[in-house]
Amino acid sequence: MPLLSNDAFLSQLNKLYEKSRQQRTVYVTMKRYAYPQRKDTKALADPDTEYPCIVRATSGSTKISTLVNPHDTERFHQHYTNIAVLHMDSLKKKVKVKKPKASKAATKDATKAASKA
Amino acid sequence: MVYLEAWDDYQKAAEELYLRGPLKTRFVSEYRHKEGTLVLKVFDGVKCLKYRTDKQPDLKKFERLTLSLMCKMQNKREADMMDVDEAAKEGAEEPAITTPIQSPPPPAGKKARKKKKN
Repeated sequence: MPLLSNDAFLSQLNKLYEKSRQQRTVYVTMKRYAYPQRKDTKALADPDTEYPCIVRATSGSTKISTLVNPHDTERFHQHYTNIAVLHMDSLKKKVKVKKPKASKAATKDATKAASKA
Repeated sequence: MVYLEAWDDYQKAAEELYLRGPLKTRFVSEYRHKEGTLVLKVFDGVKCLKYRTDKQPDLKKFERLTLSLMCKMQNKREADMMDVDEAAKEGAEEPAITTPIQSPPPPAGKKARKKKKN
């Protein structure tokens, strides 16, 4: 499978998690991508050199990968964890998800009213 | 193959292991839906650290470790890494960071308010 853009990778990853609900395992691997600098010892020794991060995902025989550049990290991480958390729902739940604080009073009254009605 | 029990130990050991060999070390997450297990692995070709969980609250820790290791892989500075949480609390200070999108209040609340007024 060729290298995908970040967004394409994320949507493919979504499908991968969905397909693997029955029996498969999804592996997501992350590694520093330093291939262009492999012979450049100066760049490798420089503590300020920034590298892309290669992210690969496999499940069964499907393989996808993407390169995440340093300035895309936050966005990618946010989307990636959203997808991961969404699909990792067979884990044991311990704490119930809290309701947002803002409409707490309103919802309380509403539940009372609803139960009366 | 070493399974660590305590999360704090695992995170510390994983980050140390990564920094010792940043070019060789990889970070793998294995998720088995049927068994409901998530296994994290940091491997540098010699030493392997693993953490196994079947609890949902551990996902938050997994998120944090992922971000921390990604930043280390890209050689981003620690300060940049911390900004994600701070920006969410204090509002973005740097223009480079997009402000987190606030989720709209749940529709149930709105309906409830309307009901109350009527």
